[in-house]
Amino acid sequence: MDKVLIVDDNPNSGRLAQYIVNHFNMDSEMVYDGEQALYFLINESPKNLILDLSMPKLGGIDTLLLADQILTQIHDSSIDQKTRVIFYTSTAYEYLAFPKSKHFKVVGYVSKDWTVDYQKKRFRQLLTSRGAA
Amino acid sequence: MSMITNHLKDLEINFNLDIAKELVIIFKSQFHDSIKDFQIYLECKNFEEASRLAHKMKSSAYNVGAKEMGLIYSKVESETVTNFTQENLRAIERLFDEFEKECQIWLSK
Repeated sequence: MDKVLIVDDNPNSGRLAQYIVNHFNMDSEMVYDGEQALYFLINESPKNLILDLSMPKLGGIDTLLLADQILTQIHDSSIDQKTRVIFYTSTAYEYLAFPKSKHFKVVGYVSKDWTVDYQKKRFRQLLTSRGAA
Repeated sequence: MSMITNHLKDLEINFNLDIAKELVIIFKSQFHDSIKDFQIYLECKNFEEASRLAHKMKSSAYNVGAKEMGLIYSKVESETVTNFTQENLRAIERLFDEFEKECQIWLSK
């Protein structure tokens, strides 16, 4: 099963996301900030990424843009598979425009304001479907 | 059954009791730390940091079913200058006491 990297500075939300992912029998790794996430994104190329947007130091969008830049410099050949990104946030979706990227594909978002049951359904939908949201 | 007890029960059903308890323990710990930080931000009128912390606490409160607390955090997050007051902090503390009582009821069942 594909590995999921969870990035969230809030341990409460991060753990909830991790329990949801584990509930689907998916393997997960959790880190607490954008800098730690960069290491994993560059060295381990996870298939799926659950990403909080509002984090101190390096926010979610900046993390993705920076990782994309670094990966582009490292790998000049074509990309086999983009990392699928799910934004995990309580910020309204209309503010979450993310530019096209070589290494990441945003497939949707899960709101932290939703009920646990609904978050679970939405994560399942986004993690198991192959297409974009 | 209250909204908090309902939510905790929901967590228990969706996962298990230990996971629900863990999220409550994390929230309680975050709450105590945050109150100290909020007091400092209030004294220094540091609304930006208060907003950032309120954003984080809002998600944690929602995760354990403390909706009313979440709504106050949301107010502090969005309009800090007018909404970040001692009164808000006292309201959050009162709601936290209620949350603790609800947790006791939930755990005793």
